[in-house]
Amino acid sequence: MDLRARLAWAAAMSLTPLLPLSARLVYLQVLQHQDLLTRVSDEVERTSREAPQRGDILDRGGRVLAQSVPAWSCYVDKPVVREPQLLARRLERELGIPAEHILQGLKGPGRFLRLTDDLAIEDADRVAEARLQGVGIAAGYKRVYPNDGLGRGVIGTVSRDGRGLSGIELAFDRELTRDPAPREILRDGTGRRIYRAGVVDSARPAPLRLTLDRNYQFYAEEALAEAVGKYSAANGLVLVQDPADGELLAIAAYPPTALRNAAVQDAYEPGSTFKIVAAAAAVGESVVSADETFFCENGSWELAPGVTIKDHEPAGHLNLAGIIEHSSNIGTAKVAERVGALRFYRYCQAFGFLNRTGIGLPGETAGVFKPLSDMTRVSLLSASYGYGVAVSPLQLIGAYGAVANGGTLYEPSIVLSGRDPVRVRRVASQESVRKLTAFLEGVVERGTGVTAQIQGYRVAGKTGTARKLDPVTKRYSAVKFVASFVGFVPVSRPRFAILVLLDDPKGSAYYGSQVAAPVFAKLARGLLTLEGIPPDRPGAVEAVLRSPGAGALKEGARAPREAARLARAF
Amino acid sequence: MIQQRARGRTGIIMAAAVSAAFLVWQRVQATRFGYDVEEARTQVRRLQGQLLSKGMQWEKAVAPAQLAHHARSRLGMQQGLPESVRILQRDGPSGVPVLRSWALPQGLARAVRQTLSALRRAT
Repeated sequence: MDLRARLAWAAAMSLTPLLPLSARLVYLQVLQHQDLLTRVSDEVERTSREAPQRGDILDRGGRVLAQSVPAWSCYVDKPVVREPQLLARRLERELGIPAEHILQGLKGPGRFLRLTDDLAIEDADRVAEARLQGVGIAAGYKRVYPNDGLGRGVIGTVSRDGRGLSGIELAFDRELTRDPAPREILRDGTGRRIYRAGVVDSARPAPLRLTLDRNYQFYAEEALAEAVGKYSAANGLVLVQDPADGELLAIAAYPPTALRNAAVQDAYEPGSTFKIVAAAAAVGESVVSADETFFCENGSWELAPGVTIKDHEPAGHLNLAGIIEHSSNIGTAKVAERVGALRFYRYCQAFGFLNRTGIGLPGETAGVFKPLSDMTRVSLLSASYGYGVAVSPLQLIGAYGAVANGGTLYEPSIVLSGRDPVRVRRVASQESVRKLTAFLEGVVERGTGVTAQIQGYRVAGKTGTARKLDPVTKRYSAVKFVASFVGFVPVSRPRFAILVLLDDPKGSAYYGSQVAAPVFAKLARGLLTLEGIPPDRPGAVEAVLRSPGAGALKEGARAPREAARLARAF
Repeated sequence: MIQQRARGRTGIIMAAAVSAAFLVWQRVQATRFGYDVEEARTQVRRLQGQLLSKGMQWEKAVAPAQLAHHARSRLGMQQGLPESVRILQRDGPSGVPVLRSWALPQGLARAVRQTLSALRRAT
């Protein structure tokens, strides 16, 4: 046997034992390749879909109203747990959750037991380092509202998985959320993560900037809470709007709840604040002259058998201004009769009372209004002073805002979009608006709204006290009322339209003039001071300079001179 | 001839070995970088979380309710009134009067006045 044959024989002898191994390799690598690959992938590869960070909600000044911050949740994969007692005790030590509670959860249905969603990074690290069998840590975000309950009725809330449930969070859920981007993750034998593909985390959505002002909102909520407490009212609401463009500056509701927005979703019988429509129609259609008077029946007028209109105080002959100033239901009804159902209905429509405002918040009500075809004489006259109709607070403040800005109804807005405000329509001529403003100013000067006066400022507004309909007897209650005041300030250049509404104030004070108008005055004072808006009442600046404390300026000889010059400018 | 062929085979084997070693090294490095990247991502997330938490603490501290509470309880401040608005400024560039509001809460104003008069007396 030559050398070559011997070498071949030796090679064959040494390689033959490897044949089964090669065959096995071929079997595994070729025949079972796909199956094994899938099994390996299942073991070491994961596609994770982490919930992306939700966009911030800011106020008009860029201050945070809602923000998502990283948070870690801790869960237990129940089938993996071998010693539940031991695990429960360890988790009690690490997380402070009672062991009994954990054990109870471990016995419950479902594969996973969620222990907490609110772990700080240090706690999450500690639990991860403890390497407890079956315990996992998952990263996510939690929604935080740094101002606690401030504006929560408007802002709303989110679900545990970060989807909007109510308010702005729901209405702008799409803008505030991004779909979670898939991320491929490799894990080694010890479970450590290895970053695999160049997948970028999904971009954080741009913040949503609201028209609300955090400070105004605080002032409004504080004033409202105080009034609700003082008068033991069941509910309350305050709206502040910029009449120049319809931007809502504050929406305060009491009791505060994140699940509903009373300003948008609720409708109520407005009472005397609705008289503005009949007055606008009378002035706009020139059916009533300035010096024409109406006999107000000394406080009681039997319209039809069983239907009597009453005034809160008897009055004789009043002109239109007097009717509004003294809030005479009888006078308003007589004016509305002169106006007629069709024109009255058209003005209601023009002021935006028959439709939703278009603010885009969930559950907005359009109010309740009888169709024109169903309007009888009684329903027309009662509607003229705010009974038999229901309006949303948003509609009402919009109507007064239109009077404040010179006659243009704007669509109310809650988000700063950078676009021009949406003009809905012109509701009255400049001349009509001037007259209406004079009526409303008269209400505060010498009528039912004197408690809304603010020293140095011209205020216009209207009180309202509506009896509540008893749902059981279907009759108007003699002891339950909705007291309201709606107005704007300063009259010479209105900056704030404010609506105050108190539902069912208890005790002897229940008129809008007694309970709602003072809240308006307090809030408006706060806002005027905050913004440093100068007084617009003639002579107000001199009065201020003569007031105690003005002496502080005497050392700066220029200041009083300057103030006197400015006073002339006003 | 045989020696040349053997040298060529050795070279090929060496090249293959080096290539294999490079591939292994590359794989190890990629894995190591994977660990590092994942570690860095965790760190970034942690720091972002801390940053947001600090920002949130700040926002909570300057929430109007907090400020109002501290201003009232610690400094004895009261909400300003429009009457406390003082016009102190000179004309603006276009000759139009510039208004500067100074709604200094009364408690603080009183404290400032008292401090100033105490200083005057001391000097």
